Amino acid sequence: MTAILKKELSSYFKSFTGYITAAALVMISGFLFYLRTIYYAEQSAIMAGAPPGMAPNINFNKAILASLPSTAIFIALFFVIPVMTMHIFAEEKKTGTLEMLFTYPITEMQLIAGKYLSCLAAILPGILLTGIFPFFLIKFMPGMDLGYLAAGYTGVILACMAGTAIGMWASSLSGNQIISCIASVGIFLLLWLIGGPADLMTGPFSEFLKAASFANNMENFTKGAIELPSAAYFIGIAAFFIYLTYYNLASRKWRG
Amino acid sequence: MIKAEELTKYYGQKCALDHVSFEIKKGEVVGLLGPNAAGKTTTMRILTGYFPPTSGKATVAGFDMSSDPLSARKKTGYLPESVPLYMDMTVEEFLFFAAEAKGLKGGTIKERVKKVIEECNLPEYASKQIKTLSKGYKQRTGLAQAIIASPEVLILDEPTVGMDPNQVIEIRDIIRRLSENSTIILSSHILEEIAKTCSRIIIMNRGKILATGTPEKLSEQMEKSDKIYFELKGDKDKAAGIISSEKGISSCRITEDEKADNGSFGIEAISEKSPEIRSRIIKALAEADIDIYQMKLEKMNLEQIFTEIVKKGGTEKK
Repeated sequence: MTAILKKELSSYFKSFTGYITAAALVMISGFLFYLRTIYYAEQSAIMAGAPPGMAPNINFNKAILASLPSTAIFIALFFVIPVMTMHIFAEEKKTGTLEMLFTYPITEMQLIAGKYLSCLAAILPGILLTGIFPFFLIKFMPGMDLGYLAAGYTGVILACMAGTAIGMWASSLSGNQIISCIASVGIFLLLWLIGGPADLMTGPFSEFLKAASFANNMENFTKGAIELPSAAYFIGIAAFFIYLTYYNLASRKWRG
Repeated sequence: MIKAEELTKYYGQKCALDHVSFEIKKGEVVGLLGPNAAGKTTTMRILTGYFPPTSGKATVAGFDMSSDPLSARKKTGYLPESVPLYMDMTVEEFLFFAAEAKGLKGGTIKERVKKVIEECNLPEYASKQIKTLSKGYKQRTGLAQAIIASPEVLILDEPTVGMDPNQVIEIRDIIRRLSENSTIILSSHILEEIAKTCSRIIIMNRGKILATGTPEKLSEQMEKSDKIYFELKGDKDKAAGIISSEKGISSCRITEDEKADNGSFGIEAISEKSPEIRSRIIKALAEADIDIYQMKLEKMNLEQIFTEIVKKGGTEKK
């Protein structure tokens, strides 16, 4: 597994894909953070001049800190993760190197673990970097609650674990990277939007949709608390898709 | 060193290997010979542990491929037909990766990488990216990855396919050198290739073994048959019909169309060893008003033996 891990990490650092996606992610997050902060400053000015009881009720922690991880995971799911995971197995299938790896003394699970961990290690630094902006404002915002940020980014890490597992599984489906990319974006869209219709109905099905929604579970973290059921949800999804990837790779043994 | 017992492999409904059994002793260089879709790659994939057989048992370097494939893989080097390589890596980086992935540790890795680079004549290209190498050097890099962990068993699938004659000679030389330390099984659909490198040949077709033996033994086996060459003049198709319908003739084909000087044509036939057959053919040709300019017995070369065995195998199956 170490050999796979080292090889994958070195290929991420050698290629520009990782750097470009991380740079784009930080740039977009930074720009959105800037817009929100400006908006917050304007609203604060209005609030200061407004008669008592008429001021808009806004809070820096909820308005700005909570939005950072939400933005980060949105961009991660619909841009960074599909781009960074699409090659994982698709490329090896296309070039035939996967056949060679299966004749090395490595189990499927070691191969998957090496690839999964190296991909996470390549994705996470860029995504976590989007949380750096509030630190520039600490001096000016004495009431800033970094707990919001910590909880939110715990959710981001867990959601990235789930997302990377989904992307890796999509990449094991065929030898075509574009298909992998489209498949993972499709699954992310479904899991993101699945909670939407839940608001329109009641009953256990509605509860199920809410519980299955990526967005809802992520929201639990951005509210500033680490919710165990939501953590279990993301870890469960990661484990499920890692197993599906294993099944896909091992199926050559009985499918031929 | 390698033992295949009743290996059978189905892809869905299609039978790719049909109860194939053979044994390869330590130090042997054995060639799997057969046309496309004969079952060569399937056999090799089972022996490398890529997938298990539907039924049957494969043992490599003393390890059962079904119950302990990882131990067997440690002792095996494999070069697939497509020569898969990581194009963005340099030759050296790729070999370091292969060595580590195959379980070599610490200083041994450096030592082995250096040694196989020399063995495969790659020192000048060690720091070059694999994608910039020519086909011949890519093939050598593939071979180098197969031998990096000093395997006891080396499995090479069509190692010289698509190469120019010079490259073929170079790869053949490397294989010959490697055979000093490893048991080698290689596949090809070209008999000449196998005959030049292998001490024993296994001929396969449609998932079955048709014949096995040294090149000399296979020739001996076929000496039970005669190859007869006829130079005739007259109705070509009629002549071919007469010869092929004769009992004891296993194959017959027109080898030369009408010659410019005398208008004759050539027919080649494989027959059982019997002068009576030839005598009957001569009579029948004369009766059909076909002139016989020449008839001679010829020695069969290995290529013809192979074609004949495959053809017979195919006929038996029908």
